[in-house]
Amino acid sequence: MIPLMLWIRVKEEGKRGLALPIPLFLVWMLVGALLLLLLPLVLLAALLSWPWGWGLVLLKIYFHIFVMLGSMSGLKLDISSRENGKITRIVMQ
Amino acid sequence: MNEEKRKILEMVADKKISVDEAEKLLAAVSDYAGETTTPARDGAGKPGPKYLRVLVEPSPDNPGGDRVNVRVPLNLVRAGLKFASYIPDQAKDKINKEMKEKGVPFDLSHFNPQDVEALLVHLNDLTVEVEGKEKVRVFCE
Repeated sequence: MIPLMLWIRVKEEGKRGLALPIPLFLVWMLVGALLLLLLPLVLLAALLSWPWGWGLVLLKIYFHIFVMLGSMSGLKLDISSRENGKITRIVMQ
Repeated sequence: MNEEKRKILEMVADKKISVDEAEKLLAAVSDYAGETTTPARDGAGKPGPKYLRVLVEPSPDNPGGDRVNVRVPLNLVRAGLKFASYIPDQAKDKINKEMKEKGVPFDLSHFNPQDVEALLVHLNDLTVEVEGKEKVRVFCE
């Protein structure tokens, strides 16, 4: 499963903390929709640039973006940093 | 074992090709058969690593230090390295030049899928441990 949520938590000593959840699944859906919208343009650009050998490269790059997204399965980040009494934690999974 | 692999091993036994050449041929045959999609296997036949882990923990005398726990799928590393092959030659030259200036003489144009697979298989044995202000561990699992 690719990461679906990203949390950013900031806490200062003696103050109320801030937690910001970012729904990555919405981001992925937007990216997917954008890629689908770009498909006709990519196909056209590939067709026009085919004589110069760029067409296939362009198509490969386009489909490789999906491969990259799929390869994110299992990616997990948990970074916590303390600076001047402020704790910042970023969790993606 | 399929016919191609058997033939390669027979060629090694007959000393027609070297072990290095056989390794390259076996990798090429595996690539062609689409075997690279399954997790790589090390020499002992056990499944290869799936994730690259980076752990940073503060030392006991500095408990409030930074903490990092990152798990990167090796498939993502593989896909990212493959993406590098789409970089145009002019850009590759520029990247190589910049990297050389920064003290990393690394040539992207010499990077091929077989090298990536070999690198990922051998990552299984990699463990880096650095102890100082923070304890850093880099390993594969």
